[in-house]
Amino acid sequence: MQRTASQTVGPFFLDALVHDGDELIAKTGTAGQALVLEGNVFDGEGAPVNDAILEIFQADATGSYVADSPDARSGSLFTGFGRATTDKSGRFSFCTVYPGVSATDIDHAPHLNLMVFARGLVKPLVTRIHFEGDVHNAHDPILADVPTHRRTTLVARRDASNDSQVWRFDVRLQGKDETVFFEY
Amino acid sequence: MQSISHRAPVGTVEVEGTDGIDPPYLVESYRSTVLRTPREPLLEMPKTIRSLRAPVYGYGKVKMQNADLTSQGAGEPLGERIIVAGRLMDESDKPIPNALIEIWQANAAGRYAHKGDDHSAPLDPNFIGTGRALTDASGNYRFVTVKPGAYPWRNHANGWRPAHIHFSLFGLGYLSRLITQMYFPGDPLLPLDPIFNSVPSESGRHALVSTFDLTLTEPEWALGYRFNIVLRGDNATPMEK
Repeated sequence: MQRTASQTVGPFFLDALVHDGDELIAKTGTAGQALVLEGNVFDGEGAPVNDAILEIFQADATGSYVADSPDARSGSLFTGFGRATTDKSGRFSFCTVYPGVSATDIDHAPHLNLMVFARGLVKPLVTRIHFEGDVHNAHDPILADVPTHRRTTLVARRDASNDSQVWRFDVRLQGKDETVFFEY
Repeated sequence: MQSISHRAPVGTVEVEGTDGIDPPYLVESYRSTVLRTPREPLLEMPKTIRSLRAPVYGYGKVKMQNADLTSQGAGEPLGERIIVAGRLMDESDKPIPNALIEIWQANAAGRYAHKGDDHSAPLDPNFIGTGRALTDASGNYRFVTVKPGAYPWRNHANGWRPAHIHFSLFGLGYLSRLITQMYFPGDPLLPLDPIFNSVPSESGRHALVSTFDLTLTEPEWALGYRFNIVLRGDNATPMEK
């Protein structure tokens, strides 16, 4: 059967798609190293994209994606999925845990999968977020496939100090330092 | 006759690089795409992402009444009460059970209950316009709502969006994720709408238009519209047919 076509999320999704706590991927007590991911979304002129919705999907600290189960469905487990919208300045943030290396994808460095939806995007933009300084980055096949000069667009940087839990990852939809995206 | 300058600047959409179903990112006639479309080449979707299962999200929050958008206020919203129902399937025709569907829409006057909507049409205190439902064991879903109104937008001179309901869906695989819009049959605004016409193929556009269905229609209560949705198959490879 023919797939149903994608259409833009438009600017008016807020109450339908985003609920309190959706940006808290890991609640207090989730095993792992706490991680706050902050960033801004910019358009081709460097202007803030103030009506985007971002979805993160990630493995837990042990590198496992949580399987579907009644407990996962009830919301009592870490499921590795979260949503956040951008504010006036295009800023978003998520609270989660640092993802582990997957036992089935042992060559892949820890990462978060990201989908971006917005007015003006007729289908999502898909990318993944790596972490600066992670020893596994050196042999990650995705980072290796990205042209060297664009590789840093897939890497979140630690804010300020090395023991900070806050990591910064900006999404540039177009133009200078444009984020690397994958064919959806 | 309308002068040509009042027509939407709908042109032929580049089909190159797509399978004719999803629009290309750049749709010149839809102005917001111009500064939001990546210009660098997109990288081939990695197998590790293609093989990811869909996330588990939101199920615990869905209540039966979330599928009835006419029961969110103290009274009934104004407008034409309708039933929107259909089946969620994947490309191999398999129904997708227990899947989360989220919808949102303008009220009957063409106004969203959203602070960013400055259209002068009235808000309806009895209509929020957001709903959620899970598909049943056979992949079926059903919402009760009111028919949304058309509304103006500033994309081009005298631009109007055809009446539509936004749908957000999760299938089995991570890349089955879909956000789309459902339209209504016979809407004269469809040929003029850059967003609807961003879908390159005629069959792809046709599939976004719901069909009036007398079997879904409840006598002396509400008209029924059918909208079946097909998501990318489990582990399906984007860009391959």
